[in-house]
Amino acid sequence: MSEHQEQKGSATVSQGDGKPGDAEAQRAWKERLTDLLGPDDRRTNRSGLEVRALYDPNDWDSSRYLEDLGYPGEPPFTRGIHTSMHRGRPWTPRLVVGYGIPEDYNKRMHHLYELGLTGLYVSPCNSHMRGYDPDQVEPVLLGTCGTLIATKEDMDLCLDGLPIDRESVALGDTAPYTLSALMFNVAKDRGIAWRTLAGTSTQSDYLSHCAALGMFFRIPLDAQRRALLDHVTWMNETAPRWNPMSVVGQHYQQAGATPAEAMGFALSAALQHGMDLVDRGADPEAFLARFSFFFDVSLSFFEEVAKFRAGRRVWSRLVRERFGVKSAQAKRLRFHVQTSGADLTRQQPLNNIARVTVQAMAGIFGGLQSLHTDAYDEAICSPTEQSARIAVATQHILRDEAHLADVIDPLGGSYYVERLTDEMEEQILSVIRIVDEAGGMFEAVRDGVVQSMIGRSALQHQRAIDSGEQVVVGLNRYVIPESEDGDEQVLQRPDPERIARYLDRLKHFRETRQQRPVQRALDELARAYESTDQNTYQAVIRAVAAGATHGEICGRVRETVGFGNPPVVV
Amino acid sequence: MNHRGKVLLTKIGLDAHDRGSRIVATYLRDAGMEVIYTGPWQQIPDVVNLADQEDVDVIGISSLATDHALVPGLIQALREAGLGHIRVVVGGIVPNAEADELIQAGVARIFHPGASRESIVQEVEALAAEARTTIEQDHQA
Amino acid sequence: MSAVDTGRDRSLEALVERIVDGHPRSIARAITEIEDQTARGESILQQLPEPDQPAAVVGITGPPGVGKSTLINALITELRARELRVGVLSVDPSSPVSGGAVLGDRIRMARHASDPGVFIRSLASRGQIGGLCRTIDRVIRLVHAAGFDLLIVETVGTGQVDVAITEVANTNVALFAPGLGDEIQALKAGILEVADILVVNRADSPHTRGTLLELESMLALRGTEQRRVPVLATIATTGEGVAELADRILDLASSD
Repeated sequence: MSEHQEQKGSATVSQGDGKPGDAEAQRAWKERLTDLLGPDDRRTNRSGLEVRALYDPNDWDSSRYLEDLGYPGEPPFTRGIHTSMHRGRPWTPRLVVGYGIPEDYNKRMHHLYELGLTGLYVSPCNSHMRGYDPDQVEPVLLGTCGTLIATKEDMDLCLDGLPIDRESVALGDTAPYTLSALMFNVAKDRGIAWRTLAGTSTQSDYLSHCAALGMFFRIPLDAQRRALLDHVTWMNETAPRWNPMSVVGQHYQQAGATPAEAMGFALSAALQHGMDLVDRGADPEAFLARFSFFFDVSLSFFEEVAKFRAGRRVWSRLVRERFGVKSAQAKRLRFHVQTSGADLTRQQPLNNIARVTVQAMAGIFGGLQSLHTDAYDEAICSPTEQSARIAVATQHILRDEAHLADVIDPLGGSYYVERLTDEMEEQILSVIRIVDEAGGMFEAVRDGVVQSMIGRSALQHQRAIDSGEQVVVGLNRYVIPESEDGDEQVLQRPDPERIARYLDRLKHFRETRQQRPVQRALDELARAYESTDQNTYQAVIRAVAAGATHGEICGRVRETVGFGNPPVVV
Repeated sequence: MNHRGKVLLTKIGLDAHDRGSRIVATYLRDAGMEVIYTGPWQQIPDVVNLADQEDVDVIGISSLATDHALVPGLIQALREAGLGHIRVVVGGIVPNAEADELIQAGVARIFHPGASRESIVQEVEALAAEARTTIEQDHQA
Repeated sequence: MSAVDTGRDRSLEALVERIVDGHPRSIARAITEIEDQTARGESILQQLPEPDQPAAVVGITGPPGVGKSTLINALITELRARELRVGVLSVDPSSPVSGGAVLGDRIRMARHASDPGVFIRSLASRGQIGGLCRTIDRVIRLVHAAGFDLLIVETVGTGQVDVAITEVANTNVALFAPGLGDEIQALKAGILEVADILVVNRADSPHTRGTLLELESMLALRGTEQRRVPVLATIATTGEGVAELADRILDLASSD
């Protein structure tokens, strides 16, 4: 990293030599500008970096092009991880879809497929996230924020007629990883070989859950760590096209971290997971090639573009330094992006379509691999059919009408974007340094260091909105009465009768299955968690095959290792 | 009273998004109030006990999913425990139609996304004073 | 005396009776009165019966993040298993600017919330330095009168300021995190001088042994006329070492 930092000093070299960045000309312009804007015109981005009115050749040393930018598909990947990027492999539109009972989900997915969505995503109900079966929680909480999934039967219904043998599937899965176990068992029943399954366990990064969201935090930190390593080990051996490790930066940023902090925390978490795998004797060349990442993209357009470009550069250098990897495959920062729900407003919700479009553009110019565009009503409820359709169409418009997939890294070489990429890189590195000093990401999260930093940044951003310094249209500026909002806000509640029918079916499933094998498999699962050498995920796969439900598996694991809640950091 | 209100900020149900409740905790503290802050996933009986032992004036429930549907049950439990003087407010995402139902169930105020810091602080403080007055009247009765 | 006054007195008597019976709401209300320094609070205190024996008060002090609340949570479990009634007063600093406070400690003791043998109360320091609030001794008297055998007072702090706790606690436990190096030197004039028990929490850390040794050598430097101060290791999250800590606390409480 040091070699890179050195160049920044040498970037401001011009000394009135008549070249484009001529110091005299620059000074004269600056004086005229100050006359116009006044001396107090100072602006900063969300990561706290100063944003100047103009950038010029003094801000970017283009002679270091190969070292700092390079060509797409080559380290340090600043311009993208694939040779042809979106021109040859357009990003995958992937919508988080989760609603109602499995049949509702399936219907919605078929509908979206007809509209051109390709990436499958299964987002389970909050009851599932917390590790319960739907019959273990208050019925009123069911099916509004995600799909009810407890059994292999449910998963089969969710994926009925969907091409899981051809398209990659993203599953909101975490320890003890029942969701992927349900899907793998469904695939087996359908005669699809595990080796051919492609997809991602999108919520496997327990560190981000612990620090920033907590929804999926079902068991204590140490047990989460072990379960993840077992999941990664099993998947790497059994389903080499699956990405069991999805490092999540999105949670940090949604919880209030700045874009630079979110990238820094995510890379620190990835280093931690990598180190843990190395301690297990895994080969970094192999497992790093299957690491994937999941980031948030906010409305801070250029900052986000720079965040992604800098993140790629930092990661490729970090893994070389810390893991000694040589292959390009192991150094690539592959990522999915979700547009930021925190930037959306409840007021005048149709305005969110414009917000999402700008966010999506930042992600696309930032070189993402797959994209979830929020539905405009995401700030109020789970998307309706209409709002989901617009979200998918937004991506098609950007790709096919605006032709944003034609040119690779089109903002590369902009004085501003290159300078900002350098500055974001420095910020990201300083976050990684703080985490290193706290003993690595595991300890930094356990001790609340990360949570405190996020809390501070969240408060700072909120204060900027409260003071009006950060404009939010319809909220603190250009406010109109709510009756003129132009959009009826309805929380789509699943039909209680359908929920009741689902619960009957679940009861029937429990009563009619062979009980003995379920008990035996759950006992095996407990033994695996008690042991130090058995693979706990293998035991989950077997428990599902024997007919155990999600809630039963999570319950048994909790009986064995304890109930985990993330630390509360005030 | 010489304090400006004691508030319990908590989350019941399944959701865990706590960005909003953490910020509100800071707002209320900076306005001179004493805030008991819990993590998510509290059970209603535990919230009632906690409110009782801490002698709070206001309970703030943060809800970003559907957990607000449990709030009428909390209000019922508070009343049954003889803690009907405690004012309950809800902050977060509550659709308009369901907001009316909550108000009818006894929720004192709903703060939607974008509620200003001033309105949150002023109204919570006023509700705390109301609760405290009710208690003092009870003493005298 | 007017009729109204008599009525008030009767309500006060009834309240004091309920406090002595250990009724949680009455204790809670009375603490608020004492915190707010009201006349009613004073009257309640005056009417409390003289205790049969002095309160056993355990002060637990340590820097933020060392695991105080988690350890107290484990300690409550241990003391409840020994059928002791436990009161916990958890003191957090008030903001010097606004006077407000965020009190987040008791959440780590959440599973004791519904146990009638445990009373937990968060207190803001309200401008008092030294990690305590100025009404703490009166709140202790109240909770003691309500029949709680052991009172735990939790305060934040490192170094000299937490010496304030020794004025109200008769057993002082100081908590440390493994791996503190130079910080130990700074402790010399502070809590180390007054602590009765030293605890290194999170003893599953590889730095634990080193920290234990450092603390022991610090104590040795204090000379031989001092009574022996035990240095214990605990893992609050699993409960390891907590039974021994409870033993030591109860030994000291009974010898006082």
